[in-house]
Amino acid sequence: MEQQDISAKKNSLYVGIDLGTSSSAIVDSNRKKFWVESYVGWPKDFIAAKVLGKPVLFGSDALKNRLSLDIFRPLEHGVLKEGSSKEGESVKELIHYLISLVKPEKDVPIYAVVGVPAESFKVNKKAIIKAVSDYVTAVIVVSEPFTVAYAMDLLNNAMIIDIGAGTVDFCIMHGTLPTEEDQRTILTAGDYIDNQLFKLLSEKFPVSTFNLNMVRQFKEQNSFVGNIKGLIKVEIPVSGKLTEHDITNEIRRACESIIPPMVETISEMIAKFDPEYQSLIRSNIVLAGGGSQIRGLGDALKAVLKDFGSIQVKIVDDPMFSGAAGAMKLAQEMPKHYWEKLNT
Amino acid sequence: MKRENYLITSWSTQRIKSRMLKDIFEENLYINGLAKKKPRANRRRARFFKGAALFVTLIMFSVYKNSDFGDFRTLPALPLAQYMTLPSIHPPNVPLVLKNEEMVVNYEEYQPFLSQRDIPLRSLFGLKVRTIVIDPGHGGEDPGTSGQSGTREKDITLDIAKRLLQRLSRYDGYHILLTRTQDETLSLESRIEFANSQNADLYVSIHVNNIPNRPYSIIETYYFGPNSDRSALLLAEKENSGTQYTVSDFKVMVQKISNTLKYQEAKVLARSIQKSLYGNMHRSNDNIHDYGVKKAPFIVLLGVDMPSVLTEVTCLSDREEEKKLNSEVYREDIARFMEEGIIQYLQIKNNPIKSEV
Repeated sequence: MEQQDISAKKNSLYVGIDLGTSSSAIVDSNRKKFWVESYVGWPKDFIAAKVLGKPVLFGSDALKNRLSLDIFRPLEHGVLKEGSSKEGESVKELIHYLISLVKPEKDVPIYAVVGVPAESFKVNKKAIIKAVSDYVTAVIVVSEPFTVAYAMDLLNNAMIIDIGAGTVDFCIMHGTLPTEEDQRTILTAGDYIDNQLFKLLSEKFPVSTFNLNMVRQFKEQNSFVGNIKGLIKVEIPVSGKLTEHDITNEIRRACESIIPPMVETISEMIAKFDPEYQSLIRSNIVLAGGGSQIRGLGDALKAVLKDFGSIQVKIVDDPMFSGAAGAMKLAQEMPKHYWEKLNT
Repeated sequence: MKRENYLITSWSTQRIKSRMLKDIFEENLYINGLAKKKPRANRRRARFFKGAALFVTLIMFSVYKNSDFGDFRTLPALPLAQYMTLPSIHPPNVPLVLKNEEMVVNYEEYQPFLSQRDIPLRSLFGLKVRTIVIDPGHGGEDPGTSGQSGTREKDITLDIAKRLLQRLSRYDGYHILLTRTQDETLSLESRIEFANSQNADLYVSIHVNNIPNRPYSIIETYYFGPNSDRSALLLAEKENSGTQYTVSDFKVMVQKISNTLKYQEAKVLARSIQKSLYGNMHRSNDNIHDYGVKKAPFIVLLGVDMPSVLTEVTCLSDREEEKKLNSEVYREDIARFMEEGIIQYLQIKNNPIKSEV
C-alpha cells in the first residue's frame, strides 16, 4: 500500500506557490524554482496589444510597460474581494503563469499548496482555491508564515515573522496548526516603508523628481537599520539632470519606522502565551519575507527586546523561496488519500 | 544517547507533522464545503487557561474559606471607583492575616497572583459593578465618519447605545446611563465629567470605524495605554480632536494611569466585548476581521475614573457593512453581542432577567 503511494507520488507533480503582495514564487518537486513580481497587466487597447504582442504581461515585464496596461497587483490590499472580476482574474492569471514556468508534463496530475498572506488567508480562502483549481488537480491553501515554519521544521515553540509588502504576519508555532489566535497581522510593512521614505525624501529634496517606484528600488537596494559604514548615495534627476543624493538617514528612518509596532506585537503575543513556553519562543524567532533582508533588523529587534529575556532572532536563508519551498514540502508530505478526497 | 534523543525528537516531529497535515486537510475540506467540522482549537492555550482557571478557583476558595473579611458579597455597594486603592491596604511585605493563624498568606505568595494581568482584582475582592455608562460616540455638529451612502457614525452609535441600554436594563441591580440620548454636540470633557459625577463603575464608548481602500470591515476594542501602532495613534488623534483640556489637567489625568484595577478591568472588559462581537459577527460575515484588543491614548478613556473601553463595532467604509448598518435587525444584533460581552465580563449569567426585550 505504501509502495503504491510512493509510486503514485513519483508520477505526480507537486508545487508550492507563495502568493505574495509584492512577489510570488513557485518551487516544484523537480527542484525548479522561479519568482516573479506580483504584477499582472492587460493591454489597454488593441494598439497596445499589437505593440506588446502578448494578451497579458507579468512581473517586471508588466511593470516596464505599465503605461500601456491595465495593471493589477493581486492581493494589494491584503485581500482578494470575491466578485471583483479583475482582481480574481489577475490571481488566476498569475497562478497560471507561475505553473507554466515549471513546464509541467501533459496529463501529469498537479498537486498544489498555496501559501498566502495570513490576512488573505482569513478572508479569501474560497476565492483563492477557485482561482487556482482550473490549473491543478487539487489545491490546498495555507497561511504563509506556516509554510515558512514547515520548510524549516520549526513546528513547535517558534515565532515566524513574515515581513511582506502589504503586511507583517506573526505566527506562533506550538505543535498544532496555528489558529487565528496564534496569528497577528500589522500593516506597517514594506509598502509603509516606501511611503515613509517617499515622504522623507520629498521633504529633504523638494526640487528633485522621483516616484514611488524609484523609491521602492532605493529601499530594495539599500535598506538597513542601525548603523552602517559609509553613505548611501543615489542618482535622482534635478531639472532633468542626474544628480547624486545622500539618502542614508532617510533610508534608516524609514526602515526603522516598522520596528516599534513589530516589537509591540511580538511582546504582546509572547506575553499572552503559556508562560512555561515563552522563553522557548523568544529564543526561536525567525524573520522571513522580503523585509527580512533589511540589514541589521534582526540585531535591532534583539536589542530592543533584550529586557524581556534572552532573545534569538534568525533570518531565513532564502527569503524569496522559503515560503514556496515549505508549501512544496507540505504538498509532497500530504498523504495521497487526502489529496484524492480534495480532488472530488 | 545522542542517537536516542535524535530518534525521540524525530518521532515527535513526525507525530506533530502528521497531526498538522490532518488538520490542514480537514480545514481545506471545510473551506471547500466538503466537511462541516471546523479545525480543532489551540490545545496548549486551552490547557493553560483551564489550568489557570483551576488555580484561581482554588486560591479564591482558600481565601474565602479562611478570610476574616467574612463574606465578600456583604461588602457595601460602593461604586467600584472607591475600591480602586484596595491593593494598598496590604502594603508590600506585610502579611495578609487570615482568621486562622496557620493560614497566613504572605505578600510574596499573593503578589505573583495579583500581578497576573488576566485575573481580575474585581473578582478576587468580590467588587460589584452598579453603574454602567454607555457613550455613543460623536453627535450634533460632530457627525464622526460617514459611509459612501451618507450613513453617519453619530446616528449609528446612538441607536446601538440605546438598544444596549434597553438590553442591559433587563438585569437586576444595574444602573445603565447614556452620555447622550439625542443628536447633540457633546465634548469629550462633558462625557468624562458625566461618567465621573455618576460614580460609574464601567464606561463603554461606542464608535464605528473607517478604513479607506480596504474592502472589508474590522472590529477592534481599545483601552487606555501607550501605543506605537501608527494607525491606533492616528485613530486616537481623530477621536481626541476638540478636547479643551490643558497640559496641567492632562498631567493630573496621567497620574490616574497608575491605578492597577482600572487598567486590569478595562483590559478584561475589552477582551470580553471584542471576543463576543467578533465571534458572533464573523459567523455571518467572512469579510470582517478581528483587529483585537489594543491600547491607545484616547482622552476619553484616560479621563474617566472607572474601567473604560472604546469599541469600534464595525466599519462604515465597507459598502456592504454600511448597507447592513441601515437595518434595525443588524444594529440590534450588534447591541446584543455587546451585551453578551459585558455580561460575560460581569459574570452575571445567573442573575434573573426582569423581562425579555
